[in-house]
Amino acid sequence: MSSKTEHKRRKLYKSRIIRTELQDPSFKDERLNVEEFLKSREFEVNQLQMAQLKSKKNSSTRCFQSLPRSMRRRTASHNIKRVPRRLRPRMIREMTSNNGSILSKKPKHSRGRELYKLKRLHRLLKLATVAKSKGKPLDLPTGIDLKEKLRIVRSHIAELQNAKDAEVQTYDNMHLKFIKLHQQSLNNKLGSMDNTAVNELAVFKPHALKYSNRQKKFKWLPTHVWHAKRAHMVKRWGFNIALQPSQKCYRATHRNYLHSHCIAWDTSYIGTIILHHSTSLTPLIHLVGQLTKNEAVKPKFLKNHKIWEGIIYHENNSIGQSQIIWQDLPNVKQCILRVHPSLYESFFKLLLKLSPKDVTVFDCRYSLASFQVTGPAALTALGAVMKTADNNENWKQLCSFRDNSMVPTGSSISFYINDPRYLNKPHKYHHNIREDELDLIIAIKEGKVFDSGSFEDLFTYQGRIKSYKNQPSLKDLDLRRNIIVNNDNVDNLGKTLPRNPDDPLVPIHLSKLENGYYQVIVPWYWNLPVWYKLMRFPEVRYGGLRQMHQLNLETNRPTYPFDYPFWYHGFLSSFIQGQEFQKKWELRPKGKRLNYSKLKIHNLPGELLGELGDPFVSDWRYLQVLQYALKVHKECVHLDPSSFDVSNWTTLGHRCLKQLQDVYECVRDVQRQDSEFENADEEKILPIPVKYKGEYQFDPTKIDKVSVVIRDEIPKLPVTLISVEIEGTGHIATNARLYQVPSHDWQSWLENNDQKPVRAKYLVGFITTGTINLATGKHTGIGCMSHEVNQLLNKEKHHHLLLRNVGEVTFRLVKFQDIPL
Amino acid sequence: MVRLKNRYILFDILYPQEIDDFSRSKALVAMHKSTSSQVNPQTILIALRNSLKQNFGDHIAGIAGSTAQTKYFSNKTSTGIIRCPRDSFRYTCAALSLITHLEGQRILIRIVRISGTIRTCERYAVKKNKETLTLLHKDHNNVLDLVFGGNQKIPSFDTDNDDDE
Repeated sequence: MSSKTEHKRRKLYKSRIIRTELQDPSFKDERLNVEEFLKSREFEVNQLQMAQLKSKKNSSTRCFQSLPRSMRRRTASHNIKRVPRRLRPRMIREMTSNNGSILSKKPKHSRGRELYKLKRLHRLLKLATVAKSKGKPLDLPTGIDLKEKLRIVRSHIAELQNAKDAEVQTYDNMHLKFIKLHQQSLNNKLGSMDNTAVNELAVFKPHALKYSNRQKKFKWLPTHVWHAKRAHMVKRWGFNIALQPSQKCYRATHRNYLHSHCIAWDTSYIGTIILHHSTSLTPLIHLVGQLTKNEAVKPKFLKNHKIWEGIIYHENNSIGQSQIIWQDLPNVKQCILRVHPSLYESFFKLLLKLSPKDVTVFDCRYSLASFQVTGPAALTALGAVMKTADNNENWKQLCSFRDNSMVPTGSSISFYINDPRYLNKPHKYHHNIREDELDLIIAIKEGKVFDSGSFEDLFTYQGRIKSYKNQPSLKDLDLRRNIIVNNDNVDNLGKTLPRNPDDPLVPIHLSKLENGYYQVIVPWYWNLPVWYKLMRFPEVRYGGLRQMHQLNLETNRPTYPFDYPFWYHGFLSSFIQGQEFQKKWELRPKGKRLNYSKLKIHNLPGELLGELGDPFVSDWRYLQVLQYALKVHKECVHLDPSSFDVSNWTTLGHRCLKQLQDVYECVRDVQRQDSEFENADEEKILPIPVKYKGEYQFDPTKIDKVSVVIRDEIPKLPVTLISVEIEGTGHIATNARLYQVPSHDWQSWLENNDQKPVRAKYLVGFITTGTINLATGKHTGIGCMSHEVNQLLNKEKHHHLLLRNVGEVTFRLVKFQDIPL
Repeated sequence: MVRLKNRYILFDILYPQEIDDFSRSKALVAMHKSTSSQVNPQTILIALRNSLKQNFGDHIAGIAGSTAQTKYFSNKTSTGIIRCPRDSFRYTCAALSLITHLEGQRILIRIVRISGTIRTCERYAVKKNKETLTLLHKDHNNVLDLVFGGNQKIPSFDTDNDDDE
């Protein structure tokens, strides 16, 4: 046994011994000495506590195990670079003492075909860098193989000698010409360019050639690599977006939003469409008024720098939500629309179709990036990172606000900021003057805290291109810092770099959204520098889609797309989720999974066995058919029974609705027919079964004497959004079924909350999002219910429903509240 | 690799007194007398093994007693921690409770805490000690000075005891 291991073993043994006090050999056991008693107890407490500490310290913990969870890296066990700098000497000591061979191990390199491929890729990247440094980045289409790429690159560089501008001069559209010229010879050496398309959809150009292969289908946001290291990414809506941080943070998110700190999201996936007219705003007003039922064109939005958020309509149907910003400047007349990526392409095509000839439609999906921040420290964090070029006092004062409700919704400000990388460390503004805060808010509302120059620059391609001019690289900035430290003064080490006269200024636009988040819009290639510095501010946390969903639930707001089943993407997301659940359920062995078709839920005569509808989804189709069939049944109940045929079926094979049970069976018939229809032709998708409010196109006169339900002729069911909160105990899960409280049992449900059987005919809605809500301490949920029943209950002031989770048998009383769209 | 799972038993040795008219704090101090120095971790283990053999037989004595170990025993405070295998911890507890005499003294072993790690036993012991300290503080005003230093003379109970006897 070597002395090292023996020494360690002895140390470990010693650490595990708990010292005890020596007993006095002549102890007196007759005397009750309180003093002695207390002293010995005190000693024991100390020793036990010491023992705990010692054993922890001397047990085999490596230095990286003592780091907090967020700083631990998997490869830290054998890669020194993954451990913070201050722990590296200790790490080296541990590695040499335990296993000296790890440090001296050389990384193996690949051989054969792999090596050849890597070498070729290396050559390609070198050539690409050469092209980029000359200001002419490559425009390589993705999806072609490496050999082709190399050939293209070489020919491209050869052509760099000859100007290819001649081709661009042939373009008609002057906007397109300008942009293409810019893209061919950039004004900076970082490769930042403006990727705006004119009157057509933009093509994504990945920033790094090395990763372009992975971005064929799903594009990366500017901060992708940063997020990929710290969050689980998910591929959605054409983008690779952070779903949630790697660490569990349900309670932390709630705390950060409500009490302290702030949360930031990179929302560059939200696309911007800019409608441009050279002279006047009127054609734009006309167009946008059409789309928003004249809501977004009210004077207060056109003048006072106020952002509009709301529903977009097309042919009297709502299709989605959008933010609209108006720009009414002397040189520039624009309307800026921001939509969710799921709607973007269809919406863009719609705009192209509807807009008149003299209106240009710019696709700025990949040229304008944004991020959202919320929480008490949101403005402080933004102020710490975004320093105005001209020391704007208003901005300084604004950044001292910690109350989220101080700044009115929809207010927006715009200004130039310095390159955030000048800062050594983000430091918040110290605003000591206790001025009247209301004055500032009034000034913001009136649009006085507004730099029209930066507003114009941000939303025009010329302005964005100008903002990239001479954009310094990190190397340049470090060189500058070296100069001012070495030549001028060592005290300059931690200071902010001064701005050079030919450095670009970044135009930004900050606005407050309806959900209380601050949204900052920046040019695409400025997003990453601002984000990096923002994340260095200690009070800032990052979030993913799930965090947004959680915070929306806590504030009783529906989340797009999950809580909007009446829109295509909401319905689709529920459908996809259902498929995932079903797959998981099917993987389980039959003996260990819940058999939904045998559940005894509605324990009354005439009720069918099993779960209502598809147990993996919120089955809106079931609800739609059920409500329709019930109506048909009701209409025909008063018909003369002798007019019914003896059999239960019509000549065409439709079921006659004579009793309540017939209604249930009829719904199942329709479901069976639906599945046959879907299986027959893969392209045919069922239309969305529900719509938002509106009128129910139920024509009682059309019903035959013999009441039947024909599959194709079932009208869409109008629904409304509601939020529910459970009364008493119980939990709410997704896809929970909502029932109307039966009127004959009303009192007993409210008072005793005893379980009484409820008929399936009372089904009125589903919950689309439901979980524990830390803001209220109870389970809450957001869902939709039938509009008709909703109106009825509101009129009678009965704000209760019954809720039953999928696969469960107990009904629970819940209180509901309407949510406006 | 099978993981051998243990239970750590925190126990107190109590000395039942037959004198009544004791206040709570006096009773506490009286019952938790310090043990004589003849008792050490090994004697306790021997007593445990004997008890197991006597009450439960050879088989159980082998299972429970062979791998039992005293991790900690303090004479002054009569507190200790024993480690025993998880499957037979109930036998060990029972055997401990059935020990009537130790080195001639009539004693009572009280099981205070059973847990899977020694750390929780230690933590619980610390908590209990602090509780008894605060309890005694309530009954005796100057005890704080005693614990945190001070030159005051504290009246001990010797005089009271003598009176009763």
